[in-house]
Amino acid sequence: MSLYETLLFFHVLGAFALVAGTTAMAPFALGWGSAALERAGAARLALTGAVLSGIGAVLTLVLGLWLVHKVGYSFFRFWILGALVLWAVAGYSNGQVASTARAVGNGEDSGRNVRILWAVDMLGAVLLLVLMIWKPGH
Amino acid sequence: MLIAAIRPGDWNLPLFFHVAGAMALVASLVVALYAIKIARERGHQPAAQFAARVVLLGTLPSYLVMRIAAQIVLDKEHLDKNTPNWAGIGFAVSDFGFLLLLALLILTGLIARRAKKGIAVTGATQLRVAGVLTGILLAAYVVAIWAMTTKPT
Repeated sequence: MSLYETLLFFHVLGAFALVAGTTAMAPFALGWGSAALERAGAARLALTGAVLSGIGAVLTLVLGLWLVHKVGYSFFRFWILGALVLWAVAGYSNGQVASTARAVGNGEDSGRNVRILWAVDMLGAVLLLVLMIWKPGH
Repeated sequence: MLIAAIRPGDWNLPLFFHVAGAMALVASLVVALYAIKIARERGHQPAAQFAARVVLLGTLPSYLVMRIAAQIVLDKEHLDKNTPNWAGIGFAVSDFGFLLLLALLILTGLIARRAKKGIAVTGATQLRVAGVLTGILLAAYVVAIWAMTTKPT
């Protein structure tokens, strides 16, 4: 495998981890399967998801920027700048959901509603995929 | 993700659904694996039913979206007649994976029915096998991601 292929593989794998982690936070944030996973159990799954999406976020960002540099793209293109903004928004939302899950895990359930934050996180991930495929402004 | 920059525009929509479907497929398997683990270790019956619902309503539809979109992309690229190695690996993983997915669907369905009847599921062999199948599927999909991104010849 060339360096480019290696970077691309781990970059895409990171994107899968990001989405898998965000999805794992859904039962906690949206109350899915609340009969099946009690709130503390859903919070534990959400924290595992936070770790997974955190690893994914780092891989996508670092390796993505490395790929942009390696391929010789300009950093100041709409789809690259847009991806950075979406990455930051999704990352912030993810962090907020994770901190709420952590509080629940520690027995400090404030009853905070994180549905919208989770939706923003997932929407950010979907829009990132849209930018990566259509590459507007390329 | 930096997917090949030079690509006819009409491939983008099926490619989007292919990648999004694959991501949802992997994501739903991760959630199912957790629910299976909870059900097996704690004998938590609702978790067993939740795992079955995730596989039926999350994993299976995601698989179909991923697979149908893959075929559309392949047809547009005219690779359906002369399939390259990387696409062959993708086909092998997805088609063999579908058999495992069906087995997973049946196993989780059976255990969910058992849980619904109030029969204990702690340490159930079906749950153990379902967990192993889910792990194999996740590993196989990592191989597929490797093939799709590096395109080995």
